[in-house]
Amino acid sequence: MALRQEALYASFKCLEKPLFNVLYRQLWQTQDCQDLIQDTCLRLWQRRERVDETTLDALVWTTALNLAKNRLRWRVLRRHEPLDEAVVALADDVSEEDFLAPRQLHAALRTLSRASQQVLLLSEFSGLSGSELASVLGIPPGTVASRKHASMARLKQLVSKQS
Amino acid sequence: MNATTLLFLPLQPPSGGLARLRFRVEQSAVQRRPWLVAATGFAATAALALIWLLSGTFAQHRETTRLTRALQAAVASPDNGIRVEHGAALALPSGQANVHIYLVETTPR
Repeated sequence: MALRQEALYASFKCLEKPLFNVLYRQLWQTQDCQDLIQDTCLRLWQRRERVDETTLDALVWTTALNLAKNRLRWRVLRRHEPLDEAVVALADDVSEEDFLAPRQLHAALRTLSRASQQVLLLSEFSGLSGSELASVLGIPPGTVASRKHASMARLKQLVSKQS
Repeated sequence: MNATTLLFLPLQPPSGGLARLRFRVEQSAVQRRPWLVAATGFAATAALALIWLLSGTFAQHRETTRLTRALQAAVASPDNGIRVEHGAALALPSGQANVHIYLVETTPR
């Protein structure tokens, strides 16, 4: 059965916040994240004849992650370095430690591989179960757990080293 | 608050996302087949070009037909035979049956 508009909007309402949180930690730009989420839903709508509503949420995640990967690749090719929003947002009344914190976090997260980043962020924000995560990422469920554990340990090590 | 906690602090996306999506979905229904407009335009242009070319061909064909008829009339024998006025004509023998040769002399008026 083809995708209905109501199902698409319901999925959007449900997934907008977790998607934003995952994508933001990859793109670090609010506008890019918003555009990407919109583009994801629009793409699925354009292919609605072939979309099954029962697997819509997983498809939204897969499509969004692929679009984010393309966006990051585009940035590398165009040597596009977006303005650091956190730096821009933190104005005069912020201490040096707070000023540096987002940069440190960005740097620490970037040192992880994309696969590890995705497992970590999806585990934290998506609300998907281990098996659902494995299905979205195309990896075995056991790998999800081990990768998450290793990534978190590495991240903590990096962040404590920096501070 | 430690740095890892800060990294995983849930963020709120900006508002208006759903309204924007609804608008884009409705817009996509209107613009669903832009290729159809382009294809229609191309087909119409091709049809006009074909009509223009063919009309030129037909006009040329009509002219050719008229010219052919005129030439045929010019070389055909007159219905009432040859009549000479203000002169004299002498038929000369020719080697071919459909070729007639005359020696024509005009007389002064």
